[in-house]
Amino acid sequence: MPSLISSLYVQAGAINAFEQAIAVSAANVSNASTPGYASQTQILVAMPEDISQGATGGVKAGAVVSSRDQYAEQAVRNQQTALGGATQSVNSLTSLQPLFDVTGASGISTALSSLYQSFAAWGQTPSDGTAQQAVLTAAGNLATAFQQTASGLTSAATTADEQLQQTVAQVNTLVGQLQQLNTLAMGGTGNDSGLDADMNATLENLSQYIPISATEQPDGTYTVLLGGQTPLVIGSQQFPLSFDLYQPDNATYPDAPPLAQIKASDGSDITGDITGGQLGALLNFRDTVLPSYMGDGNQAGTLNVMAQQFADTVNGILTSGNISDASADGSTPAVPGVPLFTYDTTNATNVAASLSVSSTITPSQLAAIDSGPPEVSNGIPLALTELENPQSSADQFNGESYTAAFGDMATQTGNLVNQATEDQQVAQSALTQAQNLRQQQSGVNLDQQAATLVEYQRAYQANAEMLTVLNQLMQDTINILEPGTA
Amino acid sequence: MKVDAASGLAAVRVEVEGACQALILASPEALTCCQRALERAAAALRQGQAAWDWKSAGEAARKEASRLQAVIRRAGRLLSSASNYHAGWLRILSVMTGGYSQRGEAACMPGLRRISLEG
Repeated sequence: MPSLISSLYVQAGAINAFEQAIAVSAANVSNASTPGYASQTQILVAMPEDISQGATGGVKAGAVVSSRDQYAEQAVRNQQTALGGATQSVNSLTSLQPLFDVTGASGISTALSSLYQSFAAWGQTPSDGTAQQAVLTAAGNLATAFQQTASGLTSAATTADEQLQQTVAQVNTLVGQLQQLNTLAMGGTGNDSGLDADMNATLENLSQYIPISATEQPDGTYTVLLGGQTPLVIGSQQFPLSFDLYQPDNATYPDAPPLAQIKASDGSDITGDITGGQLGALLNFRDTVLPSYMGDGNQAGTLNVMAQQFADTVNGILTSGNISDASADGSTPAVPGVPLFTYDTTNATNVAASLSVSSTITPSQLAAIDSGPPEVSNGIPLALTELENPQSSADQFNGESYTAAFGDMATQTGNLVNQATEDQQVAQSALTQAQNLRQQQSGVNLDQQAATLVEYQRAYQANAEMLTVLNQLMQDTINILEPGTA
Repeated sequence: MKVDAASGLAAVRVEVEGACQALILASPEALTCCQRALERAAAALRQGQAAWDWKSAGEAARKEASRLQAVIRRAGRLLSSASNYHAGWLRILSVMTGGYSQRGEAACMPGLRRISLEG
């Protein structure tokens, strides 16, 4: 009888164990498309069999093991961060492209060209009121083009500030959700696959905004750090971020547009730690890209420097000339030229936005006479016309004409967009790759992994060598197409 | 009649794009396919340097060369990211197994290598 009872006991235990295993499998199937879910395995434990000691053998249900691997999860999160950053960069930089139009249809480039044409026409008929008026009109259009570009940059900065505010709020919301899930985990059994799925889905969502590292704790909670050092959530405690605008200490240009910064919950500036994700890309756009054009506390900005230098050059040439000669008997002195452009001289970061044609100048006040010697009646318009293709370094901007320099700014913006677009494509592929690698690694035992890694090592080496060859061939091909450029 | 350089470069790009797709899958089998695709691309480019019509190559060929360069860069970055992933996993695995397999035998652990791409 004892052996029959033992046998029944073993059978019952086995049925119970397999019921649990089937339940785990069923959960895997029903959650196959649940975001963040990782398949689980029911471990079956063999029981000792020693009749003399009353151990009847059989099998019982052991622990339920998740196939989730934190290394693979972190790799996916890192690629989410890269993709989030690249996508944001494309969006932000693309918004700048219309401001730097070099197609000749609008903007500073077209206005510069029109102004040079008006100088040339004025040089043909220096006393003609219509030609003089055309110069004033073209100068006004150029000033307006500078103002509009500056206004567009300011608008882009305002949009970036709003996006930064919204992104920080979104980050805090997601971290708040993690804090609530941590609280649930602390009160649970530590083996809740649904909770674990929610945690990981939220972490993956969060990683597109900021670079994070997440560590699973023995109690099932996650400790999440930003940039590897700033705590966002530890157990049931959340550390919210905040967004702020500031002017750097000892700023050279104290009236310049402020910079954006992100603060940790203790008030410390952690802007420099946020190098990736949507937030990192927005900060780079707001604090590096835009200031290079519009200035900040420590730089005037290329657009402002260009506007000021152009205005000063034109004004300098005009004021060196005369509107009319002195009378032959000397009773009436020569009337010197007056400046054409005005701008805010108190703030070097506001030149482009404030550039305008002097409100007091009239067409007849445009000085055409270069007093020489020898005196040239249309010397000033001719000198102004030469600005289009300047020979003197004093009439150039960064060693080239103003038109070419503005074209360089446009090219720089275009290159940034192209680079960001390429980064976005690579990041999208790298994310899919990381998700595939996570899938491949899921549930594979250590011995299998070690054997597979040997294969990988060989394959990577061979592919790297092949790619190096291809790279060299590509350089040679570029040399054939454009000798000397590769 | 010589093959137009832009068309030749486009065909090479298709091969490298195939290599990128294999790198995205990143299984040992896919990496073998990737290597073959890169070999085909390199062979086609090498032959093309002598065979394609470079004299009349214009803007279209330059644009195609630029696209091909971008795809090669993309392949390089995908290869690096997959290689870095497995190098990191190898470090963890080395620590986890302590040099032994689960049966207590000496584990077959490849040495750590870094992929270095030039160009």
